[in-house]
Amino acid sequence: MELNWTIEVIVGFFVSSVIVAAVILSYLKIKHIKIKSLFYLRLSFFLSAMYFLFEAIADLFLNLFLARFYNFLLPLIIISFLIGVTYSKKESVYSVSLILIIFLVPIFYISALLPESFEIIVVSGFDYQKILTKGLFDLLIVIFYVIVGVLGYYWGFLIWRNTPFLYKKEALLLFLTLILIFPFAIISYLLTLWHPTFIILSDITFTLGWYVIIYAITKEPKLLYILPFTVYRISVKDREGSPLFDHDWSESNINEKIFTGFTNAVQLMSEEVMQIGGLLDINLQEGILIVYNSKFITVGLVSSKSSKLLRDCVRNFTHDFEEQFEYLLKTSIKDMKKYEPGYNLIDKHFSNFPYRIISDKHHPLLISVKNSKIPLQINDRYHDIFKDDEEIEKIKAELIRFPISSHDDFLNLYEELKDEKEVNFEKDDEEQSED
Amino acid sequence: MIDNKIYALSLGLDHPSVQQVIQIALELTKEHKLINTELLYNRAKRELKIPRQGLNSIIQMLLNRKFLVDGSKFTKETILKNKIRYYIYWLIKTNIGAHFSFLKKKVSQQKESEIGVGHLIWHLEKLIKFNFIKKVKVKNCTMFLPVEISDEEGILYFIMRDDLNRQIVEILLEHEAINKADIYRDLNINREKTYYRIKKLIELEIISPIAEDEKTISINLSIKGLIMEVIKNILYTKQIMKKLN
Repeated sequence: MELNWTIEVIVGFFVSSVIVAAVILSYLKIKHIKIKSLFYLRLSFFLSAMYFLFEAIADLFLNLFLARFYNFLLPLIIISFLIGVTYSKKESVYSVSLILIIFLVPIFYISALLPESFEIIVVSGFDYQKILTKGLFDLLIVIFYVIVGVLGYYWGFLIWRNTPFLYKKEALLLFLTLILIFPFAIISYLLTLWHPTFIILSDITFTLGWYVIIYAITKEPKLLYILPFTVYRISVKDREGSPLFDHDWSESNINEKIFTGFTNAVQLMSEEVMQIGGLLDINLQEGILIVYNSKFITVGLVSSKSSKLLRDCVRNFTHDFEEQFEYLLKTSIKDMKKYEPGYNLIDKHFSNFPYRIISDKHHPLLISVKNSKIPLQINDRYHDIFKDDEEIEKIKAELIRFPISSHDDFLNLYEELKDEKEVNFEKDDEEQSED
Repeated sequence: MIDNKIYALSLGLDHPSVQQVIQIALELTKEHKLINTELLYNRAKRELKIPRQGLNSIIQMLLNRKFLVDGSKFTKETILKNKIRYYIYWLIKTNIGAHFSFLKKKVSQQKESEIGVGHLIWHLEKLIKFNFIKKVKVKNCTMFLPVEISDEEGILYFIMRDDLNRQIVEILLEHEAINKADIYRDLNINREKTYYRIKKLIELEIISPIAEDEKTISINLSIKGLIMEVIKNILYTKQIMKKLN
């Protein structure tokens, strides 16, 4: 049997190998990260590789049965891509576009079985044979591509718009890929109606697009958790309500007093309402407080939405925290510094969630009071002037916010005014009378 | 050196790379530069050659550990956001000619913000630094004025805030010239006291003697209009304050 080696077949083998290699490398690079949407996206990329591979094999053998087979993969690619995208948007697989696609799938499969959907042609100008899709079947392929293209573009745009400064570069890469490469790939596919060789350009651009998406997501998997919710902060308290550990991902509109009040209230009612090991979601106006009670601690996590994933993370974090600091908790140690190694557990259980504290690169920063270096002599002088510790903290917090912190100006004015007597014209009169 | 895979949170503040970034932040502060993420990032990137994500994670960690805190330096627009400082500025604006002991008394009466002398002086110094107020010495006492008020006007306010001084000046405003004795009789108070005040007002050039023996006096005509305006404002403010109380 003579094999139909053509440029399209070679390109097909090449692009499928590139995508498979990219998927495998991505898997190996972030093996430890388990993200549901990433699984579906990888599945979609892998199925695409298979699509290109079987397309090449079908052309190689000029086998119409194989041509039908690889086209059967197309809805699966689209569906897994859609599920991946939707899951990274709202932690759910359901969407209107998914229903639309599922509605089109039977029509697609039926049309794939129609004899007139495929034809072996000789490519004009190049004199090689290939299998060409035609009619309704070809139209459905274009519809699939357009739906995915539009949704993919919208997804990339949302991620790029909502991504904080830290991950903006990867988000921009993803967005540019979706708005530049995919429309180009779809246009190239439409041009196959004019000349079938445009499929080569379409396959290469699709592959390039997939490759860049895989690269961006592998480089920064947190991009997949930009949209579903915002994690604000986590706080750990002992059973007496003393804070042991806290960590912020993002600035929250939730008032500190409300947050503390709720966690304290939950602790108080825990014995009656919540069992040890119980989880509770409290709806606050600005978000959700997930509270988990364990034997020694109460952990509160504030996020914009409730999520099963977040609840699991809180539960696992709590167990590990209790296990790691069991001795400290049993001996009722309240020094927050002792619990600082708990940051490792944040890395372990919450590493997928993006930080949003730095919203943009011009975000102004100050060195905190306790770390700002005030000369010892001046520090002592401040302690002489401001006896109250709370007062001195307020002053120091202000001190770091002055563009030029001149201690001398204040100290000189203080020396000038500290002993100034009360102005009293009446008293002056009396003194004069006595004279 | 850290790479992209390592999360800075686990590194801790003692890690050499983290310490190097801290050092750069401290240097920037010493140079009186306003730190922002970009400036710190660029300087650290140039000097330390830490990969982008690693450096971002360190900055993020410094924020989480509260080494770096959110906030910008004070500007003329934001300096008055502090409630106590704003109150002090309001006191100075509404009580032109207010001296330090008056402000001290008023601020100490604020139950919700018990602030000491040091704290009051702290805010006054900041208001001076940002050119909201100025400090004027009148004899042994320090007066604070909104910058838009001239020193001369401020001193007038300071003198006229005293009831007896004002009463003497009011009598003088009604007469072109008057004998000193008529004033103490009009006011029905001790003669020495009245004469002493008149002497002080002459020294301050608010009133001037007509005869050489200083028995007949009149208002200083060159500032008559200003004196009238000052008295009017003081009385109006007193009236408003009385209503508010």
